[in-house]
Amino acid sequence: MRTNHELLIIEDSISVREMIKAHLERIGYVTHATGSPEEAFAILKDRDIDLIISDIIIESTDVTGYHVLKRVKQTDRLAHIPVVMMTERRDAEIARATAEGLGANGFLHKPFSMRELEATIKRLLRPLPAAEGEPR
Amino acid sequence: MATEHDPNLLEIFAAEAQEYTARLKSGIQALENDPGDEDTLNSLLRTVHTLKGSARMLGFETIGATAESIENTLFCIRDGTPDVSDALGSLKRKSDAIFQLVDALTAGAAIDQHHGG
Repeated sequence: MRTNHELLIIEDSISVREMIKAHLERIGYVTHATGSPEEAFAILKDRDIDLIISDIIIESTDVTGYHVLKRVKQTDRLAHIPVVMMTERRDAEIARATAEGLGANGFLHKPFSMRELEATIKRLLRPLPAAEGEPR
Repeated sequence: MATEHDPNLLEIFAAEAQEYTARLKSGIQALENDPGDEDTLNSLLRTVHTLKGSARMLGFETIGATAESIENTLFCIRDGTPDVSDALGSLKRKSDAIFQLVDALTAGAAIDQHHGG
């Protein structure tokens, strides 16, 4: 039985990915991190992911975080997973509205603090059946 | 700033920023040959956008602001500014500035690594 929530981080910047991953692991989450949407779906196939955090613009590919979000929300087995979108775009409100229209559950405008990230995640995570190891 | 707490992140960001600036350099050269090349423009926009976002998340405000300025110039070119040669000149100057900033950061990361590791 799982005792810690498992989070998937999709972020093409290695430094930002590592910063988020290190912080979330420090506070007790199990994380999977990738810069590739394709690899993200391989992780989603293999693991029981509780929440996804995805960048909108993924530098190395034409596939955006919107594509990932849309596919997650249109896949029966994955649609229940809360998705938090993050972006540095200047038209953040338009990006937020687009993300919400596609079913995003949370939105973070870069640069955001680790405290903001943490609060957003805590708001969206559902308790695990055995919650003893859940980060506080 | 995040890197004050984790020197490894500074090293990772410095290496990443070097990669992005190398892509900027070759992309700008390609753009000089063909300012209307949409693929090059879009690729440059994605690169500089990622550099801007990473820099700001990690607290490197000067690099973030310079990347944003480059992004604005790229938008001008993409939107069909009549002064393409001026915009390209501006792009080159701003890019030179960001190369210097990233080089300085890399040198700093090397010092950190030497003394810290």
